[in-house]
Amino acid sequence: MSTRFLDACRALKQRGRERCVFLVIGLPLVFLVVVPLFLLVLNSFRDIGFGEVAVALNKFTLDNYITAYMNPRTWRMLGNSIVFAVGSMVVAFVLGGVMAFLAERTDSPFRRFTYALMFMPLIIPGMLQAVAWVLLLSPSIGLVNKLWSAIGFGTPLLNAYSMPVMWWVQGVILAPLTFIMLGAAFRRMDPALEEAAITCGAPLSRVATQVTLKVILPAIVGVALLQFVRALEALEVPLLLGLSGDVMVFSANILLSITMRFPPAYGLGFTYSITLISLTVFGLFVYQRVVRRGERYAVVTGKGYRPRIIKLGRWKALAVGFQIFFAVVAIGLPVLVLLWASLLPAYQAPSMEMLSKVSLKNYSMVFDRPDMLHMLQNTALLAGVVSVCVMFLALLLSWVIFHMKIKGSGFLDSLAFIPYAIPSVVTGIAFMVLFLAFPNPVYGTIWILVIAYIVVELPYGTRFTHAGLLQVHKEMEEAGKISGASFWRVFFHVIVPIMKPSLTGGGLYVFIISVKYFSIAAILSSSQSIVLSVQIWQLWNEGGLGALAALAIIMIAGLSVLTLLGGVHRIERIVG
Amino acid sequence: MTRTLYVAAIVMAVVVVSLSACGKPAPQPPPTTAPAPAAPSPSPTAKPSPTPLSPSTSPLVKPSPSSPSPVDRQAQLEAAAKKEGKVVLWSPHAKIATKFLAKFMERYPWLQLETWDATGTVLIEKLVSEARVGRHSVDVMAMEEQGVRLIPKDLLAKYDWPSAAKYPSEALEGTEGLYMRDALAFYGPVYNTKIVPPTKAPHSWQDMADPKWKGKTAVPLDADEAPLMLAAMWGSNGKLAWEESFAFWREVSKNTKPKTVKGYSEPTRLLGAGEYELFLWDASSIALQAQLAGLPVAFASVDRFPAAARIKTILKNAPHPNAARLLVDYITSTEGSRIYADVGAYISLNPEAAEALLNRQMKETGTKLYIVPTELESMENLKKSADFWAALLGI
Repeated sequence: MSTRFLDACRALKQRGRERCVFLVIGLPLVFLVVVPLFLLVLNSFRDIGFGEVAVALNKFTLDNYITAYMNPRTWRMLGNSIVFAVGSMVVAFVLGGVMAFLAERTDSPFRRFTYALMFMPLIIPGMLQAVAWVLLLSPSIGLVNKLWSAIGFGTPLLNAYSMPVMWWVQGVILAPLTFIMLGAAFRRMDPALEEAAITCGAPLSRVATQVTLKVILPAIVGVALLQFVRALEALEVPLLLGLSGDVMVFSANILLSITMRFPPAYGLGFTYSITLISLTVFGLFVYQRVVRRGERYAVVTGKGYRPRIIKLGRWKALAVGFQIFFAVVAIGLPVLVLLWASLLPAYQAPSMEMLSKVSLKNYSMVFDRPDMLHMLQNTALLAGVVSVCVMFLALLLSWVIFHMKIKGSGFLDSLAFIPYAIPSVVTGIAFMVLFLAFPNPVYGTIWILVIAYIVVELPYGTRFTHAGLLQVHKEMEEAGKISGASFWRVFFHVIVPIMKPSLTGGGLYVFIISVKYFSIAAILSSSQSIVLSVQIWQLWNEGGLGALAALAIIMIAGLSVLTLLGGVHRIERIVG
Repeated sequence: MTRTLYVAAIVMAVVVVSLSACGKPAPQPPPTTAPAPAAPSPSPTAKPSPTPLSPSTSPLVKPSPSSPSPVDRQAQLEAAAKKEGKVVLWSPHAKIATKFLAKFMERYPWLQLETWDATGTVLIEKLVSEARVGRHSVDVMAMEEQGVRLIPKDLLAKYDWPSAAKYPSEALEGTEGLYMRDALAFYGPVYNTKIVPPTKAPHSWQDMADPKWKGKTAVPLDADEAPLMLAAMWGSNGKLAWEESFAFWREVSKNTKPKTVKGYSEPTRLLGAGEYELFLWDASSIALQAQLAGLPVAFASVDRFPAAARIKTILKNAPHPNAARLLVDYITSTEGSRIYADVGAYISLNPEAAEALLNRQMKETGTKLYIVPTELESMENLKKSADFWAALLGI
């Protein structure tokens, strides 16, 4: 009797702890997500101007919705947005997915360099990548097209201002995310399932589609969802390539309504944002349907595992060809154009005349900034704290959702994902209004950026940890619990070590995007909390393409040196 | 558990509503019209007029009843600014400002200059939102006049602008001492001189609608003030020629099918690289800076260009009011305005800075400007212009 009573007490205590964790994550999330979302929805029904984004019950109007949704152009814009997002997602999947497979599951000869290669699109600012492709593929001045016509072809090879090129450029920008997420999933695969299929006589193609693909389905759907929403929200490619090609998308129109119109049309911008959020919620619904029976994907059990390396044999040449194609076309060509641009005071096509104007002035402009050290310290602090906090919270959240299975955890998952769909500029304004509403020591410091970035980047973290945790069987933590380990002991000594590939890969990704995130920093940072992304924007304003290209080349050179010094093994180890 | 979260969400929303309600009341929106300043002449020959001194509203060095001499005033201001130790400048081009303020920093090495750089919209939004809850972190703002007119008046400090005595009277006309016009920027078509010989470049605004430009032009998405500026320039007696302006832009759009681009800086660089032959609407400061960087770009020689003033203003609740005054006094001084005009590629309104680069260039080329009267840039007109622009570009 007393034993049963003690067991019941223990179970109650355990349940209580789990609920406590649920509330510790849930309450701040509710506050930091629901309030901005509420501000957005409420103000989409108001006619407001400067300083009037607030929780106020006046100036109500339906004009924003009438203007936005009674206009046939809006529906064309919606079509453009979806076509652009789906196309970019497919390109990113092909590029990032194949590279991840080659690096993680095959004996491809250049697999070690793949890691460094895949990080390059991540560190080059998106607007710079878009401009580089204009300089390569513009029908008038594109170097590739000029070369094409020089060898006798009349019409340009490709038009930079067309949807297929937009897919390509956005796909290259998104490919690193696919690579990191799918790479982590490939690494955790249990070969027993594949070997069983092969033993039963299944051909490799059948093993790939019926076993491999199905096991990493959560990772695939997670990446697809992230990339679809990321492409919907992307600005650089639609603004630099889409506008000139008459391809208007929602994200560009939101930015136009909120920051480019004078005076701004906040209500209209917020109304358009609601469409983006609705699309995201739909995507999330699909994702949750796919992964609702999580245990089907559990391949990491207590029995030990080691993914089988596939020998490519005669396919090796094709694999190497694909890697070279990616290195030369997706990375090499834009980097070369940027290198050339970084050496000139103002970009002109390569010629003997322009060779005489080559200088390192743009590079000195990058280094010659009095607040450089302060800015780098702020950026390192911001990105470091954000990446650690995001991955810790994301893992807790995934654990609550998939292993504790507390009622309402699906709602929590949706809540954590919604900020990803809110355009950054809207999030920035919402956080400003929120933190101005009550006395706090955070506003105006780097810590408001930390909080905002954690909320905005948590969806990245959860996609990494969801995909990872779905592959981990519950028996691992149950073994810990049975052995008498406490809640946190199981978390830190069982879950965290198993999830290390997802945590480090996700952490690295979150770190890099924290360095690049601009729209929120533009609104929430101050002269005391200036960060690199704001500096990039200032360089763009002051020195334009040349100065910014110089900064990108410095970053690429740093990564290359790290690779040559053997750092690639470290990168590989960190990611894997 | 879901119910707990729903309840939490409602509680949070209620808390935020209550907290917002506890904040200070929102300031009144800016007036949609303002007293009309006569168009200040860009000519440096305009006669300077004495400017009445307005009493200060900030806790700072006040002019004594016996009006201290300029030397005494300066000494008092410096002593007070030294105690403050810092000045904060917000501007869409604040980092550029640090370049032209190098001399200022040399002169006052004990003063720390903090700058903040963002688009005009973000700057104003942040300023107004912070002010609503009684938070004041900025001393001086430098921007287009169109921008300052969207800031509630009660956030701006009245100042006597001692340097204004050297400027044409229009520098302060209609500003109530809340800000000062110290420079101009104009807008118009810019072409690539390497591809288009000067004889083939547009010689009038109507030339821009020539079908020969089809597929060779670009127009900025964010130039939504363009229809208004042309309507003002082509109007008469304070009336806007909306129809003429709208018809012009429709014809240009129909005949040349311009590429829509974002902003001014990058399209100007791409124009120089040969991506387009004619950029239909560029800002003088951007085009001149591109020229100085060696790009083959030049303004087309149309009859007149619409222009808008650049202003400086001190915030009413500036945390460092004396340092703020020291800063604006320097920027509007002969030395400061000359450097400001050269670094920012503006036309200085200070007659003593007539040697500034763009002032000289204007004089040599005989470029004529039309300064858009501020009362025509009302909220209603800006919106009408923006709506037309959005429809024209298919947004």
